[in-house]
Amino acid sequence: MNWLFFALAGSIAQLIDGALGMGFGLTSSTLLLTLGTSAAVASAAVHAAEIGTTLASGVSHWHRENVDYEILKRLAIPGGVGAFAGATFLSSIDLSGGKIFISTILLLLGFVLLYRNVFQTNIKANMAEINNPRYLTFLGATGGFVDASGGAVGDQSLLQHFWQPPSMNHGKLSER
Amino acid sequence: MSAAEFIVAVCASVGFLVNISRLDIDWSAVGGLALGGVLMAPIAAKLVSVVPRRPLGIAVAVAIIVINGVRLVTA
Repeated sequence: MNWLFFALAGSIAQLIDGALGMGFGLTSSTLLLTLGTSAAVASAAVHAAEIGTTLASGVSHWHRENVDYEILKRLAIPGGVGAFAGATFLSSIDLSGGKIFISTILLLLGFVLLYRNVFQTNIKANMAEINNPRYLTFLGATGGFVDASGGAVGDQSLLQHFWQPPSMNHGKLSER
Repeated sequence: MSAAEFIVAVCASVGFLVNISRLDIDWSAVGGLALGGVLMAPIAAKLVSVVPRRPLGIAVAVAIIVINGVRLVTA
């Protein structure tokens, strides 16, 4: 009957993500760890579940021709490489080390989320940064690594939110 | 969710698949998460305009900080 608890975790995370526009991975990883799964398994489960949700949303954006392929390429390729590296890293460290690592990342991202909601309200888009290819490569690679090793696709968008203006929410940034 | 995030999710999953022998994947966790997320998605989409964003964001952030902070201290 464990899957019922996991389904509950998934729906809570989706509810929060829907309302905040971010945080599915952050919330579901935290809940999974609380339910007693190991760090790597929690991250693996979150990402496997997210393949479905991101595919559905990616297709709908693609249908509406919302995708900027240049930005997508610059973000997604280093993001994919970083994510693969992060997943391998998290799989190869031992269990207690993994738990400390993932909890630290989730804790830091919790502070990012807090900071964003307390201090940042409405900063205008910085087009110079978004049009800078090196910046996008850096953003994609670090975001991907933290994302996979921290166990949360939402984390990447949190990082984007942290470095990017909140007015451009994560759907827009990579899919404009 | 975005197209770039989809690529990241796929690559992360491939990374975990490569290491699957070292992991003990709980498939009920994968299925449960996906099921809960999919069922809740349309409801969550409607809540966007109703829920006060900042207070909720602050509440979620504090909860995540406390939960993970406690886990770190007791680890």
